[in-house]
Amino acid sequence: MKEKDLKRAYNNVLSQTISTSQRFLFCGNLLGDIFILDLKELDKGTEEPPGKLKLSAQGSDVDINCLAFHRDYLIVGAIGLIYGLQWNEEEQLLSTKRAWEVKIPMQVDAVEVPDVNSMWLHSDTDTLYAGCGDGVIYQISLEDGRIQREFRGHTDYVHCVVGNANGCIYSGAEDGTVRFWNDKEKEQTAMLEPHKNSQLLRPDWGKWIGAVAVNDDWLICGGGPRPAIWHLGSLECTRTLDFPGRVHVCDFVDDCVLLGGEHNHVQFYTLNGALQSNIPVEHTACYSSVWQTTPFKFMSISGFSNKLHILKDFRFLDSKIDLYGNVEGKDADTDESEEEAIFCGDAL
Amino acid sequence: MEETASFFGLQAACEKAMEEAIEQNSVEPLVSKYKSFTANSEHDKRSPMDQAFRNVLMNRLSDDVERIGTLVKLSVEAVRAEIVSNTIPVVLLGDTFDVVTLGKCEQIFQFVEQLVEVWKEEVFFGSCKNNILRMCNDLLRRLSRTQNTVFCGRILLFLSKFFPFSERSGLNIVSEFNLDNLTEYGLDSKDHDDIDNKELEDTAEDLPIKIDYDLYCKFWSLQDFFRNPNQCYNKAQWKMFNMHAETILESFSSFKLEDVRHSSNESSDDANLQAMEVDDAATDAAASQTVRKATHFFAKFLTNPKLLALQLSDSNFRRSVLVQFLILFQYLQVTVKFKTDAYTLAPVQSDFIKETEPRVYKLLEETPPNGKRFSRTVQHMLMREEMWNNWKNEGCKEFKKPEEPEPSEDEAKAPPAKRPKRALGDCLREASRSGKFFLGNENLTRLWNYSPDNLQACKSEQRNFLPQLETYLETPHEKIDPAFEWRALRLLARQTPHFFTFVSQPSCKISDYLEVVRKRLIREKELLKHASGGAAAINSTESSNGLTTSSGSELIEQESVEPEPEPDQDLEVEDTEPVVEDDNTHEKPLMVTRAHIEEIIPLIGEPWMKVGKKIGFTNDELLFFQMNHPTPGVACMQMLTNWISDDDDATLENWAYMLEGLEMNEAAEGVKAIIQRERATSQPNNDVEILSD
Repeated sequence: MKEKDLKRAYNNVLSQTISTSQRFLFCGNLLGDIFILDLKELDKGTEEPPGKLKLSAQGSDVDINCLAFHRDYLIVGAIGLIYGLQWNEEEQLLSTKRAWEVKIPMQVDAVEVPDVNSMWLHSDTDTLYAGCGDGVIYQISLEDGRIQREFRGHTDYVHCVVGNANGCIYSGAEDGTVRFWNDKEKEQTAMLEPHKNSQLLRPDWGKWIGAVAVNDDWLICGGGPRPAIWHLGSLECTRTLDFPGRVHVCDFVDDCVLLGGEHNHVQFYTLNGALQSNIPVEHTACYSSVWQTTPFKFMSISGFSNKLHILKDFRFLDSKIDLYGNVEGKDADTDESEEEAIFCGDAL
Repeated sequence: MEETASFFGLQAACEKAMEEAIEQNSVEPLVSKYKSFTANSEHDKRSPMDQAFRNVLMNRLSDDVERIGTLVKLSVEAVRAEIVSNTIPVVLLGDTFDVVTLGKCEQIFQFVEQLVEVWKEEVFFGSCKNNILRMCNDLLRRLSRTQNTVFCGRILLFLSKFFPFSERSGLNIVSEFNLDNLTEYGLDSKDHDDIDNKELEDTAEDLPIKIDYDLYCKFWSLQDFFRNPNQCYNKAQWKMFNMHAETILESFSSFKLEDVRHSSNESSDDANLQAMEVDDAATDAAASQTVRKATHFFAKFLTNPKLLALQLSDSNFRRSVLVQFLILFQYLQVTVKFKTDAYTLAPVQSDFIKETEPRVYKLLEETPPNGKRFSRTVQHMLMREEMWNNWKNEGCKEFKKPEEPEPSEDEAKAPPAKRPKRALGDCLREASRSGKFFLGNENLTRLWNYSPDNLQACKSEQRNFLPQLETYLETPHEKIDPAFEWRALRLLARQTPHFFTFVSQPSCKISDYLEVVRKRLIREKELLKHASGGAAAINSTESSNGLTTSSGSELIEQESVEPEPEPDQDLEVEDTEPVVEDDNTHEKPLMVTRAHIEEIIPLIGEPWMKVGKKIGFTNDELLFFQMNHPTPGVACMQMLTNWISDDDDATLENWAYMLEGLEMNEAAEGVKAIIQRERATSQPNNDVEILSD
């Protein structure tokens, strides 16, 4: 029981992903557990809480840093290692056996095994880009698991990798830079250094870049420095956003910018920098957001807390879902009374 | 037996007389007919008359509404003449409503409304009260509460006008709630929801707290508390209410609605908070206009889950929910005679209410359009509600008009004593004699008399209020102010080529675009300065820009020049208004001189008195001139010299205009010739300017 309480208190969900069928949500935490939520449960429109989650333990030695979903494989990024697990949609079963494994090579002068901090999946080309703790971005072919290419340039660990369909990769790192890469060029094509902009610099919090997001013309990045919108063509900072905390999550959602991080609210800004919606969350820090608009609108925000925050129209907090204590399986029954207590505690 | 007619005979006779009465629109023929049957007793005659009315009504039912109305009015007169029973007008109406369609009922009901004062008369009130109530209730029963809201409202309004406030049957004396007003929600909950709710009421004490799961359910579950506020006194229920209310309010505050169109309105609303109390009428009109735009009314909430997101971002919906909160809080706090003792708030509960109420008000204020105004109105309404509540607690006493304080005598007399009114004619005459205008309103008069020639004054350089683009963009303004943006774009198109260049921007909002343009302009200016270096160059660019800074100060000057409106201002008008004085573009008025008069007098000839009248001399003054000077020429001369010495407005132009008005064309041509001559000699270049004008 005690271990359960500890898990509840220290549950840190770093990553989430939605299955290709858009019917299941996977959340991975630092304790090596993957929670699987059936999204149908959220769209019931009844007074019942959604059904229990499924849990798939990967072993306490596995930190799940990032997740991705490709075809019918769940891809897990852990420490020094990326592996795939087969997902059986009909039986709703996540295989316990790793279908494949890619090891991140140790650098010659490395002291510790590099984390896989961020993955970006380019499904058209079956390519996975992994930003790692050694400051290198690895391009991995999912056909054969080979590392096709290494993007070198960052001088500290990479926090975030994103890309777009025309082969451009954007990465943000601890060294305070956002670097632009292209499939066809050896060196980086461009670089931003938000901390050198006096409007963006927040000296107390350092220069690291925690999150990057792009669309066709614009890029948002933030971290220690203030989040801001940059123009991809001119590399000019066109808009500063007033998010009060350090940034770990940012994204373009519809016509808005989503920002989350070490702040008790997740915020939506318009592209003009006006605060549109300010959603209270329980996380000490938000680390991940996933969303979809079809078959129904839904967003899940996770972070350092035992709860997923669900938004159904991206403007209001719809509900919160417990993770530990809300799992189906052997210990569910013994947990029941306690869960009730927590609910009541919540009510007060 | 021959004299006493039978019932049917009487009725037929009455019907005949009635046709006549309707034609004449008077009750006289009926009365005389009635009186003619001397042999029958009063009682015997009345019922045939009643029957006659009903028969006539039956025949006319298919007619247009107006004719039914006239029949009803005739029956009212007949009651007054005491020839039919008192209830007949109402019986007629009731019969009509029973057989016509709802659409027609709605039209016919206007007669009921029109005659409300009649029904309240003693003759009718006692006997018709019940009939009217029955008639209205029958109508209400036929109407749908959701479809015919307007008609229902009309009927209820009529009833409240008709019955005194303290009428017991119209009051909810024991403070019961309309528990039937269930709000159903959920996809499949329809069937078991009712059972659920009943259970809740009966055995609320034992039920475990029901915690609804998502926003949707939380939101709609609140309606049950609004329906039956007494649930809040139950501990478990309160806990649930507390939590759900918290969530909903948090949601409201997490996503603030913004109102693009009315933002400027709102700002003025804030600024003129004080002024508004005075100038309520104007803002009322504006507010009612906005209200009128959104006249969607739903008697019931629509609870489809798909609608929730839309509803939450609809300001009207938000308002109605917030007002529900306020009403509930008020009920929970006030003392109501019929609340049982168990229904008292625990300290925790009242703390929560005290904390939450200001929050709700704040949310109301933040909900556009006219949020502050709306919130104040609601507050006011709730205050009145409290008064009603107190009135009910005191047993619904009858209302008495407060005794009016006697208007003190000096108060009544004071205003006229202060200012004896001058005859309007005198004012006008005096004004026109001095070439001024008198418009009856001090401010208008002052404005009209700024300058002798208002049209010229309008052309003055100082009347050019078009600001320089740069200065305009720097002026403080609302973040989103469509009026400002529109003006700025107009200026932009006029004054700089930037209007035609493309700006790459993350947003397409005009305010951002303007911001970019402003920055560009500043940058450009700096570049220019750097490039040319010398001070002379700066001067030249500035002057080519039209002196941005100076035009700014000019504007301020303009404002300060405009004098404060003085209430006690008479017709002594500032002739030395700066607008006229230092203006070179104006032509100097050419004054009439003695020489001019001598030249023109022969052309005026005999009808010189007409000219005198036009100038503004009184009849006796003209007579005086005539008496003293036998020949018209000399008299005219005398009169005109008096004129030019007295009147500043004795200009040649005015004179020519006057003569033209009198159709003395010869004389007018003469004056015009003089004008041209004078112009040519005094200001040779003036001609050019006139042409350019």
